[in-house]
Amino acid sequence: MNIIILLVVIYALFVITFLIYSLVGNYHLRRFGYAGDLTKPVILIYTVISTVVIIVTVLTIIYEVYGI
Amino acid sequence: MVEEKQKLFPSQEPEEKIFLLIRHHWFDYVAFALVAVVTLAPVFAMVWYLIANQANLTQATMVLLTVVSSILVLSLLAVELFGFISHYLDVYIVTNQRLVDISQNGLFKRDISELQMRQIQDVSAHVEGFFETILHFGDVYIQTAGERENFIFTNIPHPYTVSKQIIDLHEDAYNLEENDESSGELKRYKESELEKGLDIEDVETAAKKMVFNQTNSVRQAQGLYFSREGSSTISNSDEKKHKLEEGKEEKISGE
Repeated sequence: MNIIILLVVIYALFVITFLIYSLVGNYHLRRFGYAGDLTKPVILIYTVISTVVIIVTVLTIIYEVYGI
Repeated sequence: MVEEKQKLFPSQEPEEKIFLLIRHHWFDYVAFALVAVVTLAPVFAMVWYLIANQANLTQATMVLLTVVSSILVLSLLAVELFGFISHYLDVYIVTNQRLVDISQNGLFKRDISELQMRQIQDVSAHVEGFFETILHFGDVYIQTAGERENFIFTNIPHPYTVSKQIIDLHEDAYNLEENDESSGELKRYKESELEKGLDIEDVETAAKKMVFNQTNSVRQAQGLYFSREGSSTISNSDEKKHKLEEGKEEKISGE
């Protein structure tokens, strides 16, 4: 159980770092992109994929640990 | 007035026309993206193999694999975002007044350098390599006057077309500058002659001759005329345009 807690903590720290990085990246795309270019679709695709991956990971961990 | 949000670069003038907004060729980014995917491919394969054979794995191992897979996918996404930002926000802008090189290196380094059209001395395009030749992309070298660093547009699509357009715009800017100098000289000449108390018609006739001679001597291939607004414009040569029209002279003399 201790190993699992450690893994969860490591993952949580990674996700926090990833979120900060993503916010900075998306800020750049919003700030320096031009109207009608590819920046908005990229922000959308990036956000959707990241969110799905994080949610699936969290659900899988919950399933493995608690069996629900 | 150009709104702040509509500006493509900070120092853009309200009347400045944007002719080209050039990004690096898509091959540049695809090459980066493929390298990132290929580098991580063996790790992905290993993780997926373990997940597929999970029957004998313990709870802790499954959590470990899930976390590692997730971190890998998110890292790949982050690397691709980094590559996209560096590729897509790195642009070259060609206006009727200047060249602008906006260089985006990752998330925390952004440089903007400009070169006035009149500072350009030579423009040349280079296409070298298999992919460059097949996919029509290459570099454009812009030599500058004085000690300024040369401008290089790297890996841009259709370099020959871009260099031709820059040369055309440079010539337009050069001609416009010459024209402005002639306009100022003419004005000063008229004012000095009128101050001497000469007849207005004599001054106008002399001014006509002066402009006509100057224009022919400076640029035989192109015509000079003055618009009603008092601004000068260069257009392609037409013998009639060498002559000042009646209504347009009044505006000049009234200034």
